[in-house]
Amino acid sequence: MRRAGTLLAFVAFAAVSGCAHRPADDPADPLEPVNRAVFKFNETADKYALRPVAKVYADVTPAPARRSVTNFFDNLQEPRNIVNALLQAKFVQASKNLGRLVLNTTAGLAGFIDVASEVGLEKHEEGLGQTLGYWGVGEGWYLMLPLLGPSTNRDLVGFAGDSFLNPSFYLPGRYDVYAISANVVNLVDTRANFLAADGILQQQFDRYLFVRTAYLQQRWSLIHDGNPPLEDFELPDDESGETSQTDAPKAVTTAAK
Amino acid sequence: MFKKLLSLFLTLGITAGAHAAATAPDQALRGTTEQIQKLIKDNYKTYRADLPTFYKAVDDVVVPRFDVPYIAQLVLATNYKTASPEQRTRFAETFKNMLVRAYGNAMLDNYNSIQIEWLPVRVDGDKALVNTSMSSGSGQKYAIGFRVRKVSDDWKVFDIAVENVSLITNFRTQLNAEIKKTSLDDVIKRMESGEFAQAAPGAK
Repeated sequence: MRRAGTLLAFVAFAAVSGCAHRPADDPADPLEPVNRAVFKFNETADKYALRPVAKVYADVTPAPARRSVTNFFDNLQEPRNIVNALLQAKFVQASKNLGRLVLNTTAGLAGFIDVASEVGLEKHEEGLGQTLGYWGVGEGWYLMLPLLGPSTNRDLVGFAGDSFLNPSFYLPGRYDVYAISANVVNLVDTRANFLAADGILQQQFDRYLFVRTAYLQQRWSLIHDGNPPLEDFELPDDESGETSQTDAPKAVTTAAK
Repeated sequence: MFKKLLSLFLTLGITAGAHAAATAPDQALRGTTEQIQKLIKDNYKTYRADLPTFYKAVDDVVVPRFDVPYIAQLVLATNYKTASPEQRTRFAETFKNMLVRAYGNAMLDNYNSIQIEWLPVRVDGDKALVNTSMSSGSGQKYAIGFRVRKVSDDWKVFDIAVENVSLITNFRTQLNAEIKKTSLDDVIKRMESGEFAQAAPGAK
């Protein structure tokens, strides 16, 4: 299992290295027909299984309890955040995340209460996909994974690598009923946090494209710690006569394609 | 020589003065926001009962703050080049109407509970990014960024990013895919009939 994962990581890494970033409105999506089929499958699974369960969960669980569940699973991701902040040489950020882990695991009662946020150590997400992006690895192809949702070649590699940084990976009985139940709770809780966004999704005229652009923009923003370079939106052949800075990299990516 | 220097100084001085006179981008946006919030507050019942009057008010107060032709051009991207002047105007008009309806309704629903925190502005030449953090009644915070650019010494909005999802990028992707499937005329007609009215990110 582990060996297969490493192999997959190497293959995917070889595929993504050397590709530059592409704008979210014009990504590399050669698998679009397959992706769309998977997206349809995911939507169906969501409609009949995940969403109804998440709705019941949100209805019967008080909001503070749900927040505690979210906090608990977020806390398990702090080792990932710390290691990836270090891999990006963000030492201050890494120490902040370390502070979060220590505070929330102890004073926050095993992570159920996010006390760190109240003393100014705000939640900050770093993952291997972001680390790769930080060092200039492009996203490669856009992927729609069964049940896992949107990803890219780069983020899939990151996802596989990050799984080693989750403490639950090292639990002796990680396929027993408790571990699996915990994963299900995490999944349902995560889905419940997105119930409010359902309305926006339903109003799009092409939900697949909406999810794709939203996901890619979100990742691009995360790589830049919420401050991505300002997009000019102009195309090389715009008639406005203004030159734009995004023209150059765009031209390069087209040439490299 | 001295005359040349003097005129140079004068020109520089005048330009500097003109720059100082122009309002900061966030102040320009704040003014517009306060104006429409006050209007809704004073005429809430009228607007609720008569939405066209409300849209007219949004058209008069909010729309001038937006660079509509530029937005249309950015959204249509490559399709803008091949569009006729008539198609461009029609598209800009119907796209603007769609936004007025989408965001107008959100404004009318939330004008009372919405809290806007104005964050530091990123200025980059004649363009800028005005960052805000908006929270509604539920206490949930949303990062909303306004991209503005200088048009004849005034700041005009050309993009809104809700949680980093840009309006231009979203519509550019989806509309151009629709245009590819059918035609620009067809998409304009469908927009005019109100089909995509709710597709703006962040609109309820």
